[in-house]
Amino acid sequence: MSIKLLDRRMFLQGASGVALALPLLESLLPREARALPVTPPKCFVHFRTPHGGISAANMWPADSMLTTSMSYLHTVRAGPLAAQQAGSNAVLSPVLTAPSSVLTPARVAKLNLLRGLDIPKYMAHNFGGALGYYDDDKGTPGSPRPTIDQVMAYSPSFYPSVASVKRRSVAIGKVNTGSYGYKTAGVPGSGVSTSAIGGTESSLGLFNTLLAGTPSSGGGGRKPVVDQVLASYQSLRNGNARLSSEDKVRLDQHIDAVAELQRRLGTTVSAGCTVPSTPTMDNLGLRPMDGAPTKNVQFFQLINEVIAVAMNCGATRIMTSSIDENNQALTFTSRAAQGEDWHNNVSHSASGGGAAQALVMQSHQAFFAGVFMDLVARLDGFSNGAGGTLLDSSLVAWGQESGNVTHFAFTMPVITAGGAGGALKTGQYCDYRNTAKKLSGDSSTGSEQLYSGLIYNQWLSTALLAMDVPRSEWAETTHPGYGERVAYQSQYAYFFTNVGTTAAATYPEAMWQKTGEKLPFLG
Amino acid sequence: MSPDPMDPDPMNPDPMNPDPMNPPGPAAALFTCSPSAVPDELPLPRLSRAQLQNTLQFALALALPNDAASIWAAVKPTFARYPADVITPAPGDLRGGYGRADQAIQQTQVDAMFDTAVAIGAQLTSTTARMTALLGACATDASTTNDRACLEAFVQRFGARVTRAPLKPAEVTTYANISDPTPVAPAAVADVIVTLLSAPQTLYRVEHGTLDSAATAPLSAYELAARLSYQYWQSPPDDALWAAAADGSLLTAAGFDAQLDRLVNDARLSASLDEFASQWLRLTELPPLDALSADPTFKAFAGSTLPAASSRDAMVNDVLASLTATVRGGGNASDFLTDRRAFATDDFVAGVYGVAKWSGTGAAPLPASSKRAGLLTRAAMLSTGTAMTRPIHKGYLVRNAILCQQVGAPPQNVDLTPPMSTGSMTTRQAVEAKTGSGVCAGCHPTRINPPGFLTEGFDALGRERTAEQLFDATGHVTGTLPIDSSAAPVLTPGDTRKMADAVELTQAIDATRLYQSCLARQYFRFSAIRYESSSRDGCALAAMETAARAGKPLTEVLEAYARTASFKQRRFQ
Repeated sequence: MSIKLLDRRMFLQGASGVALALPLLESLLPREARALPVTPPKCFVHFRTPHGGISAANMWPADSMLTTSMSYLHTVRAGPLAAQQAGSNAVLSPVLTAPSSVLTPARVAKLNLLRGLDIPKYMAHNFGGALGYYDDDKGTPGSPRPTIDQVMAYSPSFYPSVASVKRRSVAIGKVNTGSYGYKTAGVPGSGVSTSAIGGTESSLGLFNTLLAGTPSSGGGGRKPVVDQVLASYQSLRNGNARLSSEDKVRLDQHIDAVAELQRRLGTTVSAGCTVPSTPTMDNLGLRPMDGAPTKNVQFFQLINEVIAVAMNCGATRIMTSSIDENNQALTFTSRAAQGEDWHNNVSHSASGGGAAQALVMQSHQAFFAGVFMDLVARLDGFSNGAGGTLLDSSLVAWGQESGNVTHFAFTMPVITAGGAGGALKTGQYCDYRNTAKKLSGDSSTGSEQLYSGLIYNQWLSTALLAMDVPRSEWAETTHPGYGERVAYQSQYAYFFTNVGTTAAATYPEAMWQKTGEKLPFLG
Repeated sequence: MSPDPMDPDPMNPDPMNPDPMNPPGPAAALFTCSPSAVPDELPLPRLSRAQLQNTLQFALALALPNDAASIWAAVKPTFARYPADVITPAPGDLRGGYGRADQAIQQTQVDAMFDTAVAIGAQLTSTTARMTALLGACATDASTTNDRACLEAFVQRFGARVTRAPLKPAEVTTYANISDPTPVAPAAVADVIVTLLSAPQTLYRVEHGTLDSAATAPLSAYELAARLSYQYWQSPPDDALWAAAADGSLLTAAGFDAQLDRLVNDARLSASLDEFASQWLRLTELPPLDALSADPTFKAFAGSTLPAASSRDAMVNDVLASLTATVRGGGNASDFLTDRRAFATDDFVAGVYGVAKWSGTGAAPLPASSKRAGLLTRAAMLSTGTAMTRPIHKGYLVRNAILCQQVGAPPQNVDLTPPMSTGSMTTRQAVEAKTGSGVCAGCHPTRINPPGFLTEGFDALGRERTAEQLFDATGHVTGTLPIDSSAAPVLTPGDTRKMADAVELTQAIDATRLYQSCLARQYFRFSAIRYESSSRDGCALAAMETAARAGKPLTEVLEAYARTASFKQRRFQ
């Protein structure tokens, strides 16, 4: 049994190489090896960033990297990833650029770049789309599905045991986490909640929830009193005092949450995983940080720091993070979000190129290097106890609100890291676009090109399959993949009709019947 | 459904052909009361985040009045993890909504509340002195024979107020049993406190009614007291309201009126009034005003005096103080709309109004300029945090929040890049150029833009202007163009008047009485924690609308909601 201890510098420096003027959470370093599992448990991480709108030239590597093609409904292409060196940086594309010390050749080989995944519906602004809750224009989906992280969180296949799990899933975000579950957690019959799961942004709060000891009001060896709290709800729910049936439904929801709390408080982190002492700094203390990119990155690195250790300890295996520049007042650039200024004057102006696109590129590059790759590197620094790293057993994904043009759900970028315990082949740039099927843009498209590709639901299925959640837990009756079978609204038919086709012909039945398979090149 | 006041008037379809000799009269009232209609009931209302915080602070003050502030400071970081209530616009609206309406039950709420309760329990029992103050000397004396009674007395006293109803003997026993076998050991007492603070009766407004057989049952006195206090003060009942519930006087007409008057006329009303106004008028959307202080364009635009970090809150407070002063002074809805007093508590905002800084008490000064029309020309309603005004947003706010005229969403395939002033066009001209043709022309020129144009006599920091200075990205002036603030806002069908500025717009809005009807609708949404049904909720809506349109004091409008029959009863669905 061995564990790869992290280099102290891993904590002193973010993955972007930015020196952090933050206290070292030395106590978070795993001091002892944890129990060697037969099969290392898998972890799932998803970052969602707002707007999209990254031009194709800024987001993706050169087409010359696509050296292989295959016929799969239409011709799809792929090629091995290789970063170019530019000074101290390794460069896959202008956005996918990070210090060479972080984006090493070994880590490049653990990435996948997935291009050409479409939600076949006009989405505009949304929080849940990237994970399968198709809330176009921030509305309630016509037939809502929970986001895949919540399917995983309550899947007995993903969590055969929650004995050492403090939280089945952790949602990071402010106002809307983009993560949606069932009204009664894990119970499909209760219906999908149209309120996003409440999130947290506090790194210290996360530490207390995931790694600190069981909260005790007064100590003295007394058991946590949560069982009494649970009893008080059950007493009201089942007592003689009059309640409406809807009152009881809400009490049931609360009881379920208290029961989950009770379960969590009864758990201890995996044997061998020393409970570290409480950090002295909370990332919330970095605020205000609008227009302060270094602080923006640090804010998430402090979360990453806790999450990586918590995943290594088995305290949780799922994290989603929904980033929103407006609500969180951060842009990863020196241009402040300033309410909706960034939204209006940067994101929605970006498809015209110029300064706005440059800011969008700068913002996302800082996120990739400083946040995404930071967590990737941290997970890659832990042994999985089976000859690989925690990253090798995990799937870390970055999804966006829109494709290369804000509001449009064509070519929703997905960047992944980790092979999910061998479930996914990695080190590839995959392009699923049908480059013979160029679509019509409109006045907001600017200089960007639109192409159709494969259906985004297939990516959702791929992630579920990679996390060992069987189709029997999520396959649809109208297609074998995950999620709502959506269709283009009639008013957006022009994307297709202007070029002599239709949405139905672009996303035909045969394509929907593929949604239950792993995406090409990954299986 | 209520009629849409923006429906075209077939008798006068051309808004550009004004008939100034016949300005339209007040619009018809929108709501009618059908006494047989039964309103929907919000099931098991969860306390909003603000209400929960007030409840916890109330509990601390009840337990240890001298230490309450310091204990709250200690537990505040833990409570900070309790998620914010999400504001969701009404169906069909792009903006607006009330945080109270977020009734989702979340794991993070339960976790954060439990951790907060644990922190409070530990704090309240942390020292012998606190134990003595909390339970009495019986908790710390040498005798153990009085320990159980000591604890039960505390549970009865503290538990009743925190859960908003007297505890039955069996409930006292249940809570006291938690401390077994050491009734007054600090850890045991802390556990009792944790359980009480986490109880459903604490976190929700649990209402059983007083009749088991009827589908709709009157509330008990304690349930009614809790409804009243959370509605108007966002807090549990205070001693006087509690006493009125205990002696039954709250269930009498006179007793109810006395308590309602007291609640609405007390300074603590601002706890709910501020939240209502902030969300109704979307003041929470006002961005920081100092974030672009290093931006060359913004610096050139702002001039020699840049807004301070405090200026944003000062602008928000200016609106809230106006409402409070209007309510306190017996003013009505129109008075709030036309209140010209400047409640500027910040040098920058005082400079915007051209007045001396307001001390926070006493009479507030009046701006010298007659162009300041009241609410619509308050700095918070005009500022954008950038160098450019946003006529579309200002127009949408007037149309949607002030008049309750639903505009709907723009077609999703339109270019939403905001119009920018250029070297040769004012912001207004850029807006007109962008929205004057194509699909935009269906709504913008007649519905959305005009109310925004009418306040273009003020810049993006709320300063009065007659010309718009245009800047390039380096902050150099590229032009100065005169402001045109005239527009025809078409407030009601057939309204063809072209108005000159915000003063005329304000007067016209007031005269339509749509603003008063809208206020009633908005306050209903805030109070009932749901969206209205014009058929089921007509009585509450009509009561408030009637009071507002009749020019009754705002206190009477607020009280009208609680005076409806549905407020005092509960429907068991």
